[in-house]
Amino acid sequence: MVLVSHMELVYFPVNITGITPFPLEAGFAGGDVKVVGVFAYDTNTGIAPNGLALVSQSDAAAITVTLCDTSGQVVAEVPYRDFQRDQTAGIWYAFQPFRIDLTKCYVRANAPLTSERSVALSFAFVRD
Amino acid sequence: MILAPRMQLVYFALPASGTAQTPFPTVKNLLGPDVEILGVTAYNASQLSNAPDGSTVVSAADSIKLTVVLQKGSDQVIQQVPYSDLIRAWNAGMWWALRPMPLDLTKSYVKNNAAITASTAALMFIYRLRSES
Repeated sequence: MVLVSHMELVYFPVNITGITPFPLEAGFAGGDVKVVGVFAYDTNTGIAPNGLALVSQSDAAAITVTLCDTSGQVVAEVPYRDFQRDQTAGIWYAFQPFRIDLTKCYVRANAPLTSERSVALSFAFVRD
Repeated sequence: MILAPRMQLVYFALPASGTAQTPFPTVKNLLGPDVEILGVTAYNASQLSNAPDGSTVVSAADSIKLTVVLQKGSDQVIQQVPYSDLIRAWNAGMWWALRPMPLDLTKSYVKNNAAITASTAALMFIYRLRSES
């Protein structure tokens, strides 16, 4: 079992086509932090703290996630829904801890999405 | 619990033919002797409607008509395992953890065992770089 010491929700409006970079102000992007897991949500499982509607279940199925460290892609185009615990009986991918480089991370809309929706992902992380 | 060091989606077009064997494409992140596969999962349109190139992923109904062969050298390490058995969402979130090994993706393939609607197979490999392990 992997023990999680910290979690942080990241949410941001998603472009209806193409890629949308992650916002850079997340607290887990510091030098002493390593990401150990990520969980995604849609409109059936949450609402963003700023009140923005999250992507629908069908739109979530059209999104992939890419996470990077400084050397390149660690998680490459993995389906958003594969990170939704409600879709996987609560089982989540425990990552080998890695230092995330948010400047290289993005979500991709692989088909046109409903406008003015947000994605929301919780990052589980540990501090050195 | 096995930790996932790296993950890579692989997707490619499947023809409609009921007997086709479609090899995996080469994928930059999975090339080279440094790469060892630790696990594999698959997706149908319920989990991923469209691949990153916009193509339509195989339907749930068609996904049960597919089997997967993964090859290491001359050894078929995964031999005609149902694609559906690799779909995490259909298996309580569990994924097959493999003994770490290099794979010959171009010798590996997905087989249509009945006619399907032409669409895209999408599988995700969990892998590590030996130099990092």
